[in-house]
Amino acid sequence: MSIDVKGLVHVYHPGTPLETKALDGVTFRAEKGSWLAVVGHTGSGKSTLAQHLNGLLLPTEGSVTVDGIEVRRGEGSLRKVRQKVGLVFQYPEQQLFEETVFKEVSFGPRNWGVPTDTLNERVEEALGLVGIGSDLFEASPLRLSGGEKRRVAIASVLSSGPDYLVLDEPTAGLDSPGRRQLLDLLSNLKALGRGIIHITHDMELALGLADVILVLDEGRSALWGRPDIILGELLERDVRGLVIPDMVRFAGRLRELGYDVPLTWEPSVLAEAIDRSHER
Amino acid sequence: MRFLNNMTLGQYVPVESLVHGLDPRCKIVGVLFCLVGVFMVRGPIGFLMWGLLFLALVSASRVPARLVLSTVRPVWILVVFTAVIHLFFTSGEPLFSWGVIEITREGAVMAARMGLRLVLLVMYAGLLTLTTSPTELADGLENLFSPLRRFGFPAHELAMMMTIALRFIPTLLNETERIMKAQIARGAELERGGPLKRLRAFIPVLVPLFVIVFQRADDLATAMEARNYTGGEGRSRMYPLKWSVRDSAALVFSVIFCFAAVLLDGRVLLP
Amino acid sequence: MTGNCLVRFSGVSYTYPGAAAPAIADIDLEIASGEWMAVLGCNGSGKSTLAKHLNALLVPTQGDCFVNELNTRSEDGKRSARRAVSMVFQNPENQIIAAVVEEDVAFGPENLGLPPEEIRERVRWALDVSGLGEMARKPVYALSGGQKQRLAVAGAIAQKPPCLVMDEATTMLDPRGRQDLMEVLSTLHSGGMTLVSITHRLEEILRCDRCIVLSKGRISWSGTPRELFLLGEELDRWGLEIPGMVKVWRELVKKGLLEAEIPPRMGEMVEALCR
Repeated sequence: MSIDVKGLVHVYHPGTPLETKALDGVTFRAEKGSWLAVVGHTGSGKSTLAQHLNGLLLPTEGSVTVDGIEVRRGEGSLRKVRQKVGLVFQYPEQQLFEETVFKEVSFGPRNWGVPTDTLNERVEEALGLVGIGSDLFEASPLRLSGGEKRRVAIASVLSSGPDYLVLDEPTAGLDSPGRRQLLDLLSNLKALGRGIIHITHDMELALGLADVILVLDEGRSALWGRPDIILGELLERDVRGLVIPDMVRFAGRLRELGYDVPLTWEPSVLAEAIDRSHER
Repeated sequence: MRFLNNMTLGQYVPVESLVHGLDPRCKIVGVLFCLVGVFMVRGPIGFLMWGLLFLALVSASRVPARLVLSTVRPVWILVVFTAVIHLFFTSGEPLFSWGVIEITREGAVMAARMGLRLVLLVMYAGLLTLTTSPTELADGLENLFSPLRRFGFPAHELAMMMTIALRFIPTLLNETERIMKAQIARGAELERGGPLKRLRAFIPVLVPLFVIVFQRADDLATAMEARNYTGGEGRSRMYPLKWSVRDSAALVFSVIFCFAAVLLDGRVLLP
Repeated sequence: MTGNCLVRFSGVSYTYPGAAAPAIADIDLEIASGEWMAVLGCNGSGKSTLAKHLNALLVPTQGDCFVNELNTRSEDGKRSARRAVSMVFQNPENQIIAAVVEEDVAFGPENLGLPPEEIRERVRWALDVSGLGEMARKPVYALSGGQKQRLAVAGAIAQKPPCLVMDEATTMLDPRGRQDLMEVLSTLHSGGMTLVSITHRLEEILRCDRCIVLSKGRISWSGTPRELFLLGEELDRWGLEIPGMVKVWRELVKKGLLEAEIPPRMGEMVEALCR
């Protein structure tokens, strides 16, 4: 059971002077209990791809299948897919509108027709997962702090009970403590069996957290694989718009100069290796 | 953002031309004359004259003809509706009759007249916005209305509001789309149901938009204050409006043309 | 490089109307002309509140702020502060007024009533420095977030201020946008402009002369970036995170492979190691 994307092509405004091909044949799989990072520059097609995973956009060519259900119009397929795949947009706190936090987080399950007792359970569970205490349940979501708002917004997607969570730049605009808290939340969700699909510009973040990385370039899949495996290729290939982490470039430069150091994003590992290799 | 390029609701086309080079004040007043003139036209001579003048202006403006014609697209329903009303509801000498429905000759004439007037009106106004940038328009309007400032009319403030509103239209459209998608992803049905249901369904989109807009207003005010904005007094302009002889000539021409059209028009009227 | 005192805070505290506690308290600070200073802290530390005092958007509820030795409480002081200190804010979208790039840059000079020829000259210069010289007549909605922030910088420097404050200006940008912006700032600093970077990202303070750390509204520490990088668990307490590259540098310094004088930048580190 997974999300399978095969040969996905997406063209905006076909047949008009504004025709643009945002995705040009992308194929990959996202599994439950796994963290997939999709990395690429602005305009590489990341956001377009994210919207295909829950049927907000439909393929021009190719297919997207979620747990065996193909994403297409008709037969309630979109409804089913949207309950399985939660999509958290960038700056999700911008979608808050209800009078209370509880109502906000109930919005999703209410729309899906979840019966009231189950609904209340789901809402409390979602809020618990993101660390929002019951003292805030009746508060107005618009009066919370920035970090709290974001967590409520994520809870409002979690309450629909999705098996997969697609997040577009979830740490955008957060400071270090906020970032750490959010990334811990996502690791926790992964440990609980959810499939995490993390859309980001930040290669360093992806390297440190993902099980698999998909690098997009101009709508095409440029690199795919485990972080340690694709690191080497990253240095050789100049993928447009991708900012390679300083540490990786540093390690690469030292390797060129004869140092025996691994390509790594772990600072202590690198420092150790430099130390050992310095006696040459 | 992508589909915006498609919207020629009279959007500015930045090329160099005789018409583009005219002072915006001249163009605004000129268009007003044209509007009045067009609505005073009754017969074929008048329409021919205004039509020919329009074609001459389009050619002088170096704006592609299809763009000018497309300014009518958003209002064609109104044009057809007006023509139909006049066609079927003007009393006079009957031409055709099907039971209750009757088309009179006066009706046919009125329908054609009103239809043509509306089309010309929209295209003249479209030509104005196609050849004058929003900033120029705001500047021109502010300048034209500034004598009213002594009576408390907020000419500068209105011009500033117009500029800022226009600047944020693409942004707001993007944000609306994004919020709609976010709510649809959570199961909101924004496209189904009767008008009342759809309106209620839009609350999850309208409330967040309002929040964004209010925050934006606050931020903008702070940013403007930080850049030494203190209102319209004492402000200069990067490209100040310069009235030239060409502008005077254009205005004089439009007045003369108006009179000529009225006079010549009166000679040949359909009986 | 550093000259006379441009901005001086003396026992400054600020409490927002209706708030129980001050957002910043007992701030004593001096910013010298030509310096690049960083004000660090996590969300809620009071950084933005402090920033808004630099150009008299806020006036202290206790204590005094002086810009060019004029108290910002007075009308003269306020005006002087607004001319001397320009600011770029966090949200790229919400500080651009006009629909066309060059028109927005002209907004500031127009407010000052400068003659048209001079406005055009300044706009050209500001756009060049910000790397937007080719985009003068482009519509603003076509710009990326990073480009919009550079436009905001152009708009801010068009009034030729001695000091530019970046209030979390990189927070909403992607890595490329941040890189481009930092390059513009470097250029400005080399040209003698005083810069104040308000941020929580330690990646951005590498070229700063000095930094202070705000925690719960008070100054908790002050020193050079390199001294900051060598600190330990205080950084956790302040909610600051050391970038990966700097962590490597720190380990190498501790192991004695690098001298602490070598800046934590790749080029210099490679060179030093190979000696």
